[in-house]
Amino acid sequence: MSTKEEPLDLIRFHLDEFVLIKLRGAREIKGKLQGYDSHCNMVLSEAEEYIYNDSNDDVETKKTEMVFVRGDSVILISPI
Amino acid sequence: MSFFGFDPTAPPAGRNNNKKEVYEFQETYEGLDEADDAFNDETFGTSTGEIRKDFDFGAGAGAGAGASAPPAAAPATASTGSVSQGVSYAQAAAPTDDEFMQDLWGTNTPIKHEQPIASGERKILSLEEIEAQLTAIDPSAQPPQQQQQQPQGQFMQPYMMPPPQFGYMMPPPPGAYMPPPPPPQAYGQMPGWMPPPPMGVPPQPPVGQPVPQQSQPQPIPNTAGSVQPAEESQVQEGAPETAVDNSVVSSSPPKKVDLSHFPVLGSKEAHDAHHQPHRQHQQQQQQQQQQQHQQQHQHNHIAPLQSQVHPPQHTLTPEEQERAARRQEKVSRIMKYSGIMNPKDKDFVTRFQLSQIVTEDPYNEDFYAQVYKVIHPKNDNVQPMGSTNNSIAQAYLEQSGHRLGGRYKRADVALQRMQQQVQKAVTVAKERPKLTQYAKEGALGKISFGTGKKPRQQLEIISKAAERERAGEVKQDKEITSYSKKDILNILEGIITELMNVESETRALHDIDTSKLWDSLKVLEHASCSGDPEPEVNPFIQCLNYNKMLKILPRLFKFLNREQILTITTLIMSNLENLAVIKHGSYTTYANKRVPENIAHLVDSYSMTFSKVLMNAVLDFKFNEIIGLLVILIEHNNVSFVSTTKIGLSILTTLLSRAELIIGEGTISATDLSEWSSCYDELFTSLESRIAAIFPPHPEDVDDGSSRENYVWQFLATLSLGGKLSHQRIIVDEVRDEIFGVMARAKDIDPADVANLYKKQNLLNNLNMYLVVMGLVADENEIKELQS
Amino acid sequence: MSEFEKTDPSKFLSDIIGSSVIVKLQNGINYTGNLQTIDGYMNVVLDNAKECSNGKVVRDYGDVFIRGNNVLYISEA
Repeated sequence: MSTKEEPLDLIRFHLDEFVLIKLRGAREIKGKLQGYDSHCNMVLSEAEEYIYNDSNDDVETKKTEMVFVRGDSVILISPI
Repeated sequence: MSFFGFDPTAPPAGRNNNKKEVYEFQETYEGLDEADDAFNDETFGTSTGEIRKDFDFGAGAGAGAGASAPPAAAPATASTGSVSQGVSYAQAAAPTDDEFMQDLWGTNTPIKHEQPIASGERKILSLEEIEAQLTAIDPSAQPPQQQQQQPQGQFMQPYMMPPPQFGYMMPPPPGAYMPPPPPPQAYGQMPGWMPPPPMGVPPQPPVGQPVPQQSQPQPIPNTAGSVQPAEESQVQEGAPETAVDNSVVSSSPPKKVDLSHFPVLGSKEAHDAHHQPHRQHQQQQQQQQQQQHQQQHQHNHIAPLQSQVHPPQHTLTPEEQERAARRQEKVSRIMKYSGIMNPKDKDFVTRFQLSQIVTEDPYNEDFYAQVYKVIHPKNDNVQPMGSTNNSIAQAYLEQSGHRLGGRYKRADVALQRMQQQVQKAVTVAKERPKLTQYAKEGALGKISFGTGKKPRQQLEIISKAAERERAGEVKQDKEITSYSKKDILNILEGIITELMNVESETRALHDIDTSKLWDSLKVLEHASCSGDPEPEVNPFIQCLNYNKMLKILPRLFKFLNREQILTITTLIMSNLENLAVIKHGSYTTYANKRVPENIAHLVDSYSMTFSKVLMNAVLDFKFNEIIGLLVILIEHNNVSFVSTTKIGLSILTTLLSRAELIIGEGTISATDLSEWSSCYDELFTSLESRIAAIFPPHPEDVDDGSSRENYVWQFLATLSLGGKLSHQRIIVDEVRDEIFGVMARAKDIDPADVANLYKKQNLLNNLNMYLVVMGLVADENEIKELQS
Repeated sequence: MSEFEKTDPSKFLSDIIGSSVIVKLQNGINYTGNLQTIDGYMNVVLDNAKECSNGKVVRDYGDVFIRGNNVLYISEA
């Protein structure tokens, strides 16, 4: 019955799993996917945000217990 | 005078509200050229030329002029406009009925110049009132509302037949027959929203909102106005078409008001009236811009102005003035945008919003709201929470900030109406087919538009799988023997979906079909046993490696019958070593003899969920089934390896202890017993000489002296319990070091260290749980035989 | 697919499901991998994806979901 797969399934399958999200503005977030919608708005728990600066050496890291990511800034999502 | 719903009985405060908008209405109108209004004729049954001549807002002395005066008076804002307004009003009125005017004005306004505004404001309010009126039509409407209408109709009637300008002035559906007003206009219906009502006779009120009034009016001469309670009259005041018959009003002056306190309109101001229309026209833009400004300063201007206008009568105290001014300012701020949307617009928007939020499955789509509702039940819910519709409507109304302040009656009615409307919307939305992508194909390609739930797609792409599915050539027979992680996650999400479906069915029905749920588990889809390569392991077993599967296990098992649970348990027993918690859960496979953190985490999850579920399930199993499970476990797994994992050991404990309990009941046949003892022997053989290995090598890691290590001692106790003396000897022999180790650790804890004393106790308790089986008891120094 | 056959975008996209593709994003980064699924929003899932920036492979992903609004083009590799 679920033969017809669609891209968002990949996200659905990884509910409650850790994913890596690449965002606009040279940012990435890793976290456990708690929820999402068709706009790729997402809620992540145990999240860690990485902010890359021009010099690729220093990466700023922020930890967040729970974070909402607005879909329009999402570039890609990948399971970890 | 009161043609526009001017209600002499109403408290003055309400009046101020819409002054501005009235004013705007008037001005807007003035600025527009009626000659271009193609619908004028249609609407009013007169040529535009005629109409024009009839309009003399300020100066007209005729009876007709008097009636039309109020709107004309409206234009001014509190400070500047009030003077002229008052004048025009007065002038128009004076010739007709001076006395009446006095009564009327005195009654209505504490601050004199606000009166005209008030009358105009009626209009604006009236639009809002339309809603209330509509509600009144509703069979369910409250009686008070209906009462209100009677007086209105009554007042209005006399005006039903006046010359064209009256019809022209009729407030309620103003947008319909007025030239497109500028945005701020209070009654501004969207231009073109409604076609002008076809009207042959001018006085006839436009189709639509006013209708209720018309149907209702049963002239009840004088009583109505005076009898009405204040609240109602206030409501009435707002009513769209409330028309007050001069004569009626004059003959029945409102009782509540002490006229002596209020100023009477002076004839002096009448002179200014002539200029009004022109001035308005010229100043329209300017005034609009200044409105804000003026409002801010109103407060300051009011006093001087008042005294100017009505020097002798004016007796307002500064406090009163200030209060009124403040109120006025506030009101005008609030009312700035009032009337931008008429009730129909609001209805439309409401319905649209509702259609977006309505769901057939509140539990799944609004899960947290449901949870919240359970946690915080409304204690003030007067309304029976019968249907979902109801609760949605209720919730909407609670959230909508529907203003209740001061106008309880009206608000109640409005609420009722809203609720009905919401219910209707909900029903309609439910009947409507599921939201899908809307698409239209035309010469320029495919156009599609999205909704809140389903954003707009750019292309419709049909996957090959879907095509195949459509073509009916789904290859189901082709056995999948290898599962990718994605397949497993897919299956898992499928299980969760089915589980939620079943759960929501149980809320509605008692008889539920769990076969789809069972199918989704895929327990029987692909047999496998321990040691198979991971991708080929049965998908259900693979699912057990995911935390989310563990989380739903207890919920899942509620919907499975005994046979299904037994099947699952059997499958698990034959696949123990395929479980990540076993496969990766033994310290023996790690160089540092420690289980990695992520596995340890999973192990914890198992203890919280899986172990409990299994425990419950085993309670239902018969003795021979337990034996069967153990045999399968031994056959398919390396028992000594399994025993070095926490979960493996606790599974063994669960089965063994259940078997011991059944034996203890003493109803076991001799054959079963002998079968059991051979099973036990087999188990023991596979464990023998490796029993000490069940102790994790870093007890201080796993066991801070609290009870985290007790699963090991529990197992030893259970194992000893089922064994003969020879078995027990072997066990004691093998774990002797551990026994003394625990005693030593207990002894190491300083009795003076009160904070850690409990650890000492726990260690000894764990140890004794095992020793007691053999009639021994230990303290930190020695092992003694049990006294008894 | 035959070049002479009339091909519209959705047909093309559904035809290349399962094949190896290059997805170029508007920020200039290329992703190559097997096209698993694609939908009408141009959301794309690739497996065995490689992220290439300036011709160098920067990163490997097992599976990757690319949000459609970022996609510049998709081509068969």
